[in-house]
Amino acid sequence: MTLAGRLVARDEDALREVMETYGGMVFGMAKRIVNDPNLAEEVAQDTFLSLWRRPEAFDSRRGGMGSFLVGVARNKGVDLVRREESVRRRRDSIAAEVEAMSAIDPAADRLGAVDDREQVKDALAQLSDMQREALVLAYFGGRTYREVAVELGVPEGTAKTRLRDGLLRLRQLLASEA
Amino acid sequence: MSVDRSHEELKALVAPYAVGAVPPDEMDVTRAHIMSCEECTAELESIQSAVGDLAFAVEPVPLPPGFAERVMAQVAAERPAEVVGIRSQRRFSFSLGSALAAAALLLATAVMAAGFVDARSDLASSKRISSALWQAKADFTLEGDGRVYSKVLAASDGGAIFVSRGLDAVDEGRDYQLWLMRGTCADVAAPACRKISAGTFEVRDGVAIVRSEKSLEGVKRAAVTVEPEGGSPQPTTNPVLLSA
Repeated sequence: MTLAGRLVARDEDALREVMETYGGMVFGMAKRIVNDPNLAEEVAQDTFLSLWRRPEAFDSRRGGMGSFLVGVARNKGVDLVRREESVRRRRDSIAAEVEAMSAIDPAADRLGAVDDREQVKDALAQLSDMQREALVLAYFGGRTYREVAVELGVPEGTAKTRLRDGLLRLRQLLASEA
Repeated sequence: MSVDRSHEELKALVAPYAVGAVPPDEMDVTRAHIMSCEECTAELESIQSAVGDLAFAVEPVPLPPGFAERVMAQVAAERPAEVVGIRSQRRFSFSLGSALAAAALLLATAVMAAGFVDARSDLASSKRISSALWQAKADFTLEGDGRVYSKVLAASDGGAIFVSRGLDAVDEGRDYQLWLMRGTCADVAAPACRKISAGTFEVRDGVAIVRSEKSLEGVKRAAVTVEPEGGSPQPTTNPVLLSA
């Protein structure tokens, strides 16, 4: 039975396996968004608990478990940051954000999905700077398109267009490599 | 006013929506439009895989020590309690595909109740009916997985209508069940929050429409759970969809 099927069947060992396999990705995303180890743990716990509570929400036809969980962690992190006004949003420079996305940390490579990560990073590197900045800020930085527009000093319409063009290009690049 | 926003304006929000970059104040109108618009749904589907791939670019960070044990302790604490029985409810099952003829009347009541369009003029076109239904003002918007859009609205005859798009079909032997909750419902699991079944339903092609005679009077929240086929007297699983 698949991992997802076992979760639906309330197999607690399946949840442990999910955490072993995808914990690093989920915690990595949570830390990026909330920038605080304790809050990141809260987000990561919440992510796995919501998978446990509603395993039906994961649909393998729409992508892998890793992507799904990272997306859930991102959204939970963003919600938490928006809720908790006491948490000061990290305001890294765009350059640092983007640089972080194009560098590969050798220590992290042991944690799995390396090939996928390199491939996606390669594709990100092939986007125009403008597309990459917009996508990195929005997705990995947890910013809204309005915040992206402000940070990049462009009209909101331009921010939206860059996100769209970036995603379309990314899809094209990754489809041709597959 | 949100309903005046143009298709082009809202279509430009599909990409921000896909990466979760739509601000909270625009979320409802964006989601409602995308789910009611074939072109926007198609665009969303075309870029969703890229968003999924983007997730792989995140740098993994090892989990803190004891993380899994803390999660498993919470899982143990949440193991379901026993179920208190009440008599079972009538079964309602409509999907957009199979029930269009029967749906015309009930959709008309919903649409008129919402005061959104003149229902009679829309009855000629099932597509426009469903579009009007999607856009009608919700009494409850149910949140779940980000790609599911669901709401409950009052019908003019005093009943309720639930519409949902994006839910997956449930396994053989199971049904979705709609719950209307009255009482004190800050904690929906609490006994003080009375869960009243508004019927079970199936999902076809990702769409479900449920007509219930249950009134929304005094209803605080709405939820959908997955239950054994035919429904349960009270919810036996955690909600897949829940209103705020």
